[in-house]
Amino acid sequence: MKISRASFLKLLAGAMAAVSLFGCRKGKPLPRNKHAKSLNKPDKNLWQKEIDEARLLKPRPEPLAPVPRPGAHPKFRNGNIRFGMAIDLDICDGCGKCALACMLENNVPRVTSEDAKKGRYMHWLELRGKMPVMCAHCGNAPCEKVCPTGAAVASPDGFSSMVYPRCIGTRFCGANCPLHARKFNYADSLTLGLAAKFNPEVPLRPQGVMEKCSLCIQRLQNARIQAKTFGTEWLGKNVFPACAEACPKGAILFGNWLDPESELVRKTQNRGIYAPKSVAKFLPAVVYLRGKA
Amino acid sequence: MNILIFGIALLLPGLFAVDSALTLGPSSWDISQQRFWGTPIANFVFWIGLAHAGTFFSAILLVLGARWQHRVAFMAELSTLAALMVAASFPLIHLGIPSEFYQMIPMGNLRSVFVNPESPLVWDFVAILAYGIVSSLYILLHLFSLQKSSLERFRRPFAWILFPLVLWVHTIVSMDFAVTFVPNWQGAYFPLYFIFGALYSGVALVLVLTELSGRRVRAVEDLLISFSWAILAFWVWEALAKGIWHSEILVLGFLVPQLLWISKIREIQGARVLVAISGMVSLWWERLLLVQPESLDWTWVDIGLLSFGIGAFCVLFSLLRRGVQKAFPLALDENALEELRARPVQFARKPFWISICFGALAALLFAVYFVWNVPSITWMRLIPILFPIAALTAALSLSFFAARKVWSSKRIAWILGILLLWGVGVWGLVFRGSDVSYSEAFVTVSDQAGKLKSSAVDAREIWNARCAACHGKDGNLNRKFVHEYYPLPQTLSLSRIDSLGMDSLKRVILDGRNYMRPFRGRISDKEAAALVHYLKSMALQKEKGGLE
Repeated sequence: MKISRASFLKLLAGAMAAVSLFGCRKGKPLPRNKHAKSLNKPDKNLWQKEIDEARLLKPRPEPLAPVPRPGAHPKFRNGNIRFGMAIDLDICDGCGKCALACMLENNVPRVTSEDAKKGRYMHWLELRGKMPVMCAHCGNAPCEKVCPTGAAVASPDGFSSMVYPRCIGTRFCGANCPLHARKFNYADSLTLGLAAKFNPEVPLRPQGVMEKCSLCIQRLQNARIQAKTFGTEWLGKNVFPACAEACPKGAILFGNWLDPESELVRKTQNRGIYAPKSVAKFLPAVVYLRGKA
Repeated sequence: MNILIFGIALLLPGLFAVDSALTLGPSSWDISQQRFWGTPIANFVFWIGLAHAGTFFSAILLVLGARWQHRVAFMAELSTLAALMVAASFPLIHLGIPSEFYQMIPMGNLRSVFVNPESPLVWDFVAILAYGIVSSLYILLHLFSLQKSSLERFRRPFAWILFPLVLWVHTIVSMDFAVTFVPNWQGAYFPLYFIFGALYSGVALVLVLTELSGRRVRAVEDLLISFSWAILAFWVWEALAKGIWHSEILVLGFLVPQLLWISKIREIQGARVLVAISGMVSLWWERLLLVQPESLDWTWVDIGLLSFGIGAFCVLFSLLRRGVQKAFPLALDENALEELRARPVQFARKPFWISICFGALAALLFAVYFVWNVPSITWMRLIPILFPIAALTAALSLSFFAARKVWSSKRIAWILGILLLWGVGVWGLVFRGSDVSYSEAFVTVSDQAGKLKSSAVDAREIWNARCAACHGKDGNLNRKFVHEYYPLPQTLSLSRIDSLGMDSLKRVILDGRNYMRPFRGRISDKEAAALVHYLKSMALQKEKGGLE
């Protein structure tokens, strides 16, 4: 095919015009890794409002199934720590203070109005009906099995942790989580002014990364470092996640399932232990209490 | 030519959608916070299915000895390459951080992070990479064998490698769904279901392409009808086992192809093309509903991605065909092919078995390497990636044997050298990784909250927790641990601290120096300043102690 100079120039001009059209699309591109200054005094009511909004979407509590008392993590049979939680549904009245405390502790961002319309809320601890639901920290975690890069990985402390810098956003873990406890960062929330660093110890997650309940790992690690510094044996004592701390009725128990002296183990004696039916067979560490055993 | 124009017309708006999808991220298309997969994954499964048609026609039918195979083989192989390239682009668009896709390459602990070889996505990545390379080698071999008949004896061995690989690849694609805990995606029949779906859509595509090039192969039409019955079996199964059925899929995918039984309709070219297209549409729709059963609240990007797929395929296919027509005019000439077919069938036995051994060895080495380094891996879960690795190695070695038949060893050495250089370059790029440092992506600590520690007592705690491991609790070096380092860290005497100045010490703590790691992001400016004060107070105390 021969091409004359005139037609070549025409083609070139056409191509340039087509390329320049790329700038004309609607919506601003969201730059990554550019952290604008967050608001000095973020309005906590905005977060509370979003929690109330999200609650309306999920009016039904998770169906529960009885499970045995959580024991050692299947990957760390010889460990002496398996962190876990028990939420007493007989006491809990669904006030939602735990949800707000969780968002403030872990710098969980709010979402844009378009995302809110599609139900893409980021709440690590969400209220389904009156029931607070978060990652169950399964022993045989489905999310850890399918993550290609090892970003979702079991912690030697017996819970399911998340390594943000390894995450490339395949969202396979989220698709495979029967409880739908994993949340995806659709937007660069800090740049959009939707996130605030309430807690300087927790990093803000960039756009394109999965996140979920970490059992307030920053608190656990601080307690561990302190115990190490003073040379005491720790076994996961004297530390509480934000939700347990915020609960006015003390319905959320936290502790080490493998420490027979922990509050968690003592207070769950003779209680009926349940887990969300969808994850009951994966050895969850976060369970619910109801009635007597 | 018409295909090219049609393709460009769809590709250009499609590129806008791709651009939007990449800059705005996954929120630009329709997915929910419950099911995280959307149209890119449905498109991926669809196009990878179409990509299997080529191998089906050229490798599987060659091995099985179908007599009309040569009439569609080239068309099918070219469509495979084009469809594979389109398919590979969709998972990249799907990623949350597309620039870091290379994290899925299983290259051991080179970057000190192992991939998780249990994940179907890693299987996928390896299998599709292997399939892409092997099928391009196969088409090259096929093209060169037109000119040099000595290569003909390598085609069948190659087809025997490709034959299981294509089934394996689509089995793995089905695993992406079947190993999950999503109720709609479970079922041991998924691999077969996916393979038949893929071959059905692939046959339909080849039918359309041959008709558009002005030819007609009746056997392909027969195949279309038989595959429509096969896929019906799986749809009935889905309906009975899970209660999933969609009337529009049944009509377009099963009832419409039955029109080909009526000879009056079958003789109309347009009708045949339309029937094949209706089959493809029904399968695309089926994949979409599989990935995303509820809420089809599409944005324009979803439609744009569909248009991108079709457009990119048409453009790639017609460009490839044009290239082949220029370089190998024989390939698209049916009469010439008919004559070439009369050549006696030979099978390069020895190179084939040697290559198979090489492949098995490579897979074994890979498995041993992984199990050796990560003993906690369930080795059974490694099996899905072992076969693609074996097939890739076997295909490479077989192509080496074939190349030795036609080229001088000097030329082969040149080609190998260039490939090696290229491979090392790519490896190096992957090894280097992207430019995002932890402190850049995850700014963690700032002074805006009053929670941060800065008093002397707190500084001692931070020192004991963060610094004492190397510098010792009392500020004297922990010799046992540090003696391996060169240059040895400085003893922090009072005179040295005074000569350096507080500011530069603070900077060392935050930014690191020699073997000292930067602590920016983990401790704040205030804390660093407090640490420097603490350092000085320790040195002062030591000085006093020395005087006494």
